[in-house]
Amino acid sequence: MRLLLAGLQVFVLLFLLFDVVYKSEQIGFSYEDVTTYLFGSEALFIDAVVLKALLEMLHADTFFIMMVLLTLGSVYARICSSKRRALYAVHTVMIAAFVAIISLLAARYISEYFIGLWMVGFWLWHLGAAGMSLEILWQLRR
Amino acid sequence: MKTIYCHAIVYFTLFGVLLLGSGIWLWGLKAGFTVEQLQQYYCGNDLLFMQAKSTQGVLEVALPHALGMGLFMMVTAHFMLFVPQRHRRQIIRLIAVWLVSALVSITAPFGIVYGWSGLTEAKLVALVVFQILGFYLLWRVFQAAFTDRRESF
Repeated sequence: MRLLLAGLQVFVLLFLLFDVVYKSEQIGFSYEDVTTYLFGSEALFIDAVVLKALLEMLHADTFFIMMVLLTLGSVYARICSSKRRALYAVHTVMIAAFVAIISLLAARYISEYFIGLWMVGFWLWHLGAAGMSLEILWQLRR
Repeated sequence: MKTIYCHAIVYFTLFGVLLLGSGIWLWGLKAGFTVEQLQQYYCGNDLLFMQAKSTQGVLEVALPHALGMGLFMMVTAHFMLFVPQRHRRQIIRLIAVWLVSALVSITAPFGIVYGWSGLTEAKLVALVVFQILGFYLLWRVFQAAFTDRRESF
């Protein structure tokens, strides 16, 4: 069972790493990069992202996030020594991921200010999930 | 532990609503919700310069959805453990209908591009049934997990 759970964590970490690399290629992480991706740039001859493409990305992201975080959360809840910390960790990553999904769409259609919220949400859920995954691996070594 | 798990399930249902919602939105943008629009989407329309879908085009959509919808339904259905025992039989029937609607929704487009236009209606009905049952079952899971979470405090 330990081997299985450790193997799962390796794949979760790999997913998180690949997602960060993919998003950095597709969108970018600076405020200017995200603005260019969402609204295009006349100076750089870049078109704004099409709603269909944005929705397709968010639709796929939602599925992956819900599966990864549910699996990770249920393993973490069993393994983490402090139940209170586990509860806070699950809440933090889930809310951050939810905010990340919604705010990218909101940045495109409501206000540019949501870009900052997307960045915070994106990094918070990725780093939080990576931290949970690493802690599970650490706990499994015993 | 049970409490934390219930919290995670509540979030799962929220993500589920987002998943189904973005699915409907995407479908509305890509194809539409009438039989004519669906027929045009799959078989094309020369007057509107819409190209007919190829089998490969249908496969590109069906492939990730075959795994994704199956996994999503399996995970959602297994949370029915939280639903009170007296509603179990009704829920099992609904899950069976949900599974069949997903199967029809994924496979019908292959028939439509091969010329069985009667399947367009089947695809539309299956899609609507899948979405309605998806929202309803997620609501039941949310309700059960939320009640369970409150009671366990």
